[in-house]
Amino acid sequence: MVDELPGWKMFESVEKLDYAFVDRAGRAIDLHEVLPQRAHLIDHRQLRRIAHWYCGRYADHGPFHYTEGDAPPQALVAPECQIHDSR
Amino acid sequence: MILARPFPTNGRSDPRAVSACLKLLGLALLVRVVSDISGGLLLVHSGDYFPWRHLPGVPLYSATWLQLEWTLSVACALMLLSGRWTALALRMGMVLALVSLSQRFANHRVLLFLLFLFLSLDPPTLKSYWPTGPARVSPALGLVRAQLVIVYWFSAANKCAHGFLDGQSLVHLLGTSRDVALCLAIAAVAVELALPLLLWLCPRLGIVIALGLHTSFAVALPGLWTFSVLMMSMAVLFYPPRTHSVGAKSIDSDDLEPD
Repeated sequence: MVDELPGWKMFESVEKLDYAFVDRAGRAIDLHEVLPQRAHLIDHRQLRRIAHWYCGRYADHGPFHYTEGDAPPQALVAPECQIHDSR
Repeated sequence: MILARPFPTNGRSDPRAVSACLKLLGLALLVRVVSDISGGLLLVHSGDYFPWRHLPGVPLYSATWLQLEWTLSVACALMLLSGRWTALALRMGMVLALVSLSQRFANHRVLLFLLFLFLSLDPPTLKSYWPTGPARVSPALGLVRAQLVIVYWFSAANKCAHGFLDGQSLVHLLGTSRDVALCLAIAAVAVELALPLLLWLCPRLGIVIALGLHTSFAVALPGLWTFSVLMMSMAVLFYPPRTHSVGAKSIDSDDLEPD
């Protein structure tokens, strides 16, 4: 398997996005809501970056909990909002 | 000049094809601005949305600068669509595409920049190009045709290398069944490999297929309209140059003096 080929990657690898992101009150947050319309999320790496940004931007709603698939939830606490690849 | 002569057109471009290419380029620019506006990009620049595809290390400029970028882009698009001040439009468009790329890195923005860059090297604005003049050799247009081949073949190579052919990516992307996705995945890679050859060997059919293919891509995946129109603008350049008839004698357009 070739890891990287230069240029023109277009949907060659799209993951099934299975995640949950909840705020302090337990409200589920759809991370697509903070993306421009028609933005195509294709992997969990992108989701984690958005969750990290959301945690910092809307810190007053935190701490947040982020879960990927069957992995245990991770707590995101501002200002660090650290998040790891848990899968 | 090898880049000017990679295809059976001998590197020449039909003036009508060049005119269509520039108009489609203008349309792509317009579609990009409309897509940016309707997609809520202002909210990215005001800090309310995630800085989607923003390059780290490059400052995100304000919503006011974004609106200026859009205004100038629309001006460029209108110049290209009307066929007036095209050299200015191509050079200004190249700068704007680069600026836009610094804010949001995406395939279609890279492609937009490359096309403006290539065409601004030798803007096809001579009267001899427009739109009834004789065909001529242009290395810049050769670069654009070569770019189309690069996009198709590297996209196919990436798909093969990253497991796209098992159909799983299309199941997730389109929500189709596994069998349908498998067929679509194989068809997509086959078309990407075959289309450059078809454009080379049978350009008229190749152009029709490219236009149909990219229209269907754009309909299936909202957000791909700019990319699709850009691919169409490159595909039309494969249209074979016509010959000019003078009385009973048919001569090749290279034999004619430019205006």
